[in-house]
Amino acid sequence: MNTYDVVVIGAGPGGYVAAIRAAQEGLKTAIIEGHKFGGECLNYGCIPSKAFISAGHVFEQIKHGDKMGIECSEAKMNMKTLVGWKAGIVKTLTGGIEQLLKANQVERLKGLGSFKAVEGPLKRISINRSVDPYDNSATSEKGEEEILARNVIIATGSTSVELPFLKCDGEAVKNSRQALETSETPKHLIVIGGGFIGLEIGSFFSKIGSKVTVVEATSNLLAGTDRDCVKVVERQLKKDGVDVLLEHKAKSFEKTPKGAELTVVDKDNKEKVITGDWVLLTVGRKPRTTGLALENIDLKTNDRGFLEVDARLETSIQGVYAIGDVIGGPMLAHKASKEGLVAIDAILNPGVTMDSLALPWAIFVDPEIASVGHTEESAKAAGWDPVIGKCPFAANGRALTTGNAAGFVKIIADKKTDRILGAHMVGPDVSNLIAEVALAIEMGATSEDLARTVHAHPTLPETIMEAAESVHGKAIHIFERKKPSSAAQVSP
Amino acid sequence: MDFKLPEIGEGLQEGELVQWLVKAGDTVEADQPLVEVMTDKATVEVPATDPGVIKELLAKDGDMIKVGQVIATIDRRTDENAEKSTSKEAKTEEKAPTQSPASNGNGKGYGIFADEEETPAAKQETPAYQGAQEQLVPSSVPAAPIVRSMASKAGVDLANVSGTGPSVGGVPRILEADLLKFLNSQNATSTHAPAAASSAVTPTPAPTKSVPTSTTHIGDTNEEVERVPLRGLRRVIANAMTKSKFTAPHYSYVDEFECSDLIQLRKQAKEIAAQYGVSFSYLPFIIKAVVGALKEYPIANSSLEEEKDGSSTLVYKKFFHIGFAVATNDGLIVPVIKHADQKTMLQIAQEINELAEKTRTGKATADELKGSTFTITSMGNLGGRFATPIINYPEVGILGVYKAQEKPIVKNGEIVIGNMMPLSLSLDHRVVDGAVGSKFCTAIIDRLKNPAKMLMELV
Repeated sequence: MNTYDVVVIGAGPGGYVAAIRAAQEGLKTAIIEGHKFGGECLNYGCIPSKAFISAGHVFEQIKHGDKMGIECSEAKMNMKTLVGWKAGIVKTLTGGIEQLLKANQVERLKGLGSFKAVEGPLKRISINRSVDPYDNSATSEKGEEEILARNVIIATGSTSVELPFLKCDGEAVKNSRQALETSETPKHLIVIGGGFIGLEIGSFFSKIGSKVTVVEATSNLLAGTDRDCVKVVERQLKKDGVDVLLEHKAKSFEKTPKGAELTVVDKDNKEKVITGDWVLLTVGRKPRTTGLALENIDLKTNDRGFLEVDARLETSIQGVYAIGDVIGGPMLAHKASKEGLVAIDAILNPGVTMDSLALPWAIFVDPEIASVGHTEESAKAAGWDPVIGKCPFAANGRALTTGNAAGFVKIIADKKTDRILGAHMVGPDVSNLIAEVALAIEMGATSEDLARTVHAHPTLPETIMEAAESVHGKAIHIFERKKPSSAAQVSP
Repeated sequence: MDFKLPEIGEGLQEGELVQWLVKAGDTVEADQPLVEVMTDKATVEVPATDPGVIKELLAKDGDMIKVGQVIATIDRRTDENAEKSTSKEAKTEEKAPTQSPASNGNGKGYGIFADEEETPAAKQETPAYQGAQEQLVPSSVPAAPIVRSMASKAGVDLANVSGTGPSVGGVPRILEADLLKFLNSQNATSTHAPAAASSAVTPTPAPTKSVPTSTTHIGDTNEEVERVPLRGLRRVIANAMTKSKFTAPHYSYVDEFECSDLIQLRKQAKEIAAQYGVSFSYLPFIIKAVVGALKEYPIANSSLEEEKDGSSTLVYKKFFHIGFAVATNDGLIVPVIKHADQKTMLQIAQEINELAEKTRTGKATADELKGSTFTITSMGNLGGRFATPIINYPEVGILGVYKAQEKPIVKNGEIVIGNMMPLSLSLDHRVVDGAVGSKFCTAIIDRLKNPAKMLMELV
């Protein structure tokens, strides 16, 4: 029986990164994946949705190109071509992952990985080829094998949540994965859940001509996101004709010959029936631990189904680590990847803990939202005295020349030390701009460091520089009413 | 169970880890030597206190380790129940354990030693995982990710490191150089520090490639070098010699004496000693002669203590611990004959035999290698006429003794063959002036030239 130093269960962005790093470090490594390499992110999530969103963006630019002098007849969306293009990108990426694993001599074991027992320092793991761990369906393959692992990294990710009366059949009710395989533009799309997945995909369909209705149970879209940023997106949704029903709950659903009929109730229990081609169900994701047989090693999930880990990412069982969606926190691919690297570091070195100060993230709605570090509220709660600098993209030449100058950059710094605590942005390409501030936070930079760094002109990051200047009331391209707060002194 | 470096000698606080004698995964018995530690002079083997399985080695060869520092973790368990090995050196083809811990009730392999400190609860010492943003608090020290990573691997709390980088709100950022400086000064006091810190932090010296000379046949000049980190005894010697040479201004005084009487006496002594199974060299005589001279000139048995405020104190020692240099494969070591004034020459000879053997085989204890008040270095049969020995600081004098040779000498107006033994005496001029030094040397020679004088001094 083969014994490995590290066995990773799940080849998503957490697992495959961990496996490659383990192999780089000279550890004998295997990765168990019974579905597809690349996980949710590459196959069904981040990447496919971004392919769609890019297409939607191009479509809209063509549609509104007339103001730049581009005249063309009615653009048409061929969904079948788009789905094919997306599939090509996914294939390239996932194929690349498999090649990298192979090149790094990571043993790739296909099947459902389950714990059998802890045997001294080792964990016995079985791999069942006849089960697809994505949905526990049967595969065409047979056979089971067992291996031993010194260290196991659970990277099984998460799976989308369904509602009791709404099961994703892929036709009248689709989850995000199914929505990104749809071959026709729906006339009317009903989105349940105003989180980032629902709004990203909903916005795409709206851009290519669908009527979109978003049903959100709470009083806010994009919960947990800077409210000022969300307001800019809400304005655009309105402009695009997206109906947003806040504080509305889905109550019942009926599949009709025409498509879908959803009954929702508002906070006063008033009913409303919405008819559409199909429903996109994006009401959250839950950790995927079924099939792992955690009971065989006496490892328990918490009451919300997540695995709990310490700062070394180790579970209560020594030598069993967990990373990514399955341990909770923001369900982000790059969080899982980072945790994968830290877990390998921790296996090799007992002193290592997860010590990142900044976890940036981006939402690809229109305009994009990106965020890193503290909000004003969380900074206060952590004991800082936050001050804010803000600069709109309307004051940025490059933004105006892209035709998309809505939005702003907001920098949060500490009043006493001037240290940068966070940034929240909404506007053109902010998903790419956020990296600069993430680095600034990790390096312990001050807002003055950012302000004093020369930024190329004409580029969007100049807005970051100006927002940093604005922390001290010294932005050039906006009129600063407040007096400069920094201790600027002119020598006699 | 944490394995801490135990007391390795009176007053000794730290030593250098020369080499591990075990590796992670090894089963060890109580009293089995685990690790070789080099103290000021001795290499001592530190034994296990209890039987168990080595879980992890937390320091590596060449690290300076302190008494009380955790240098390894040991499972007090049987092989089958040893817990995880995180070490990548651990063999991957290890046989699968036969006993299934799942059957012992808790499925974790802790059943037998449930009362031990390594129960799962103990593992949870690591703080709970927080999100990135939650870690950005006012107490978080401004330092780049690489510096934070190096610190965590070295087990260093950056709050204890003073930075020299650009300041953030008046607090200087901690740079990589600041951390390295801290680690060097500390020699990493924390648990995980040495192993991790040096591997992550210290650049490995790159071997210099050989550069062939030009093809114009100047010769086969090859500029190949081999770079070897200075470790163990060599490093100790290097540091001690540097300290001595740069602290105590030495001068050397050389002389020689006619030693026919001494040769004669030693011949007789040798035969007597042989009956006791003791090999008898010239050294016991020289030690006795030196002790006699030291009693006459106590200044040569002193040391100079320098205070931090710049003042100095001369410390006269009223005891006579005589060190003698022994060459070993690893380098020079000085074992010590304690209270040489109170021992017979036979006792001293026997002690020299034992100490020299123990020193050469690395078995001498730290106590046997420290506390000398004056040192003798004998070149024995290696030849040479004179050398300028370096003082064994903080002593103020060292006597070099060389091989006696037959030489023509003038005796009573005639040239005769004499047996001449050269001596060279190095002294700390801060304490012993040349005039005193020459008198002291003469006092030694008087005794060796005329051994009867030493008999007079017997207690």
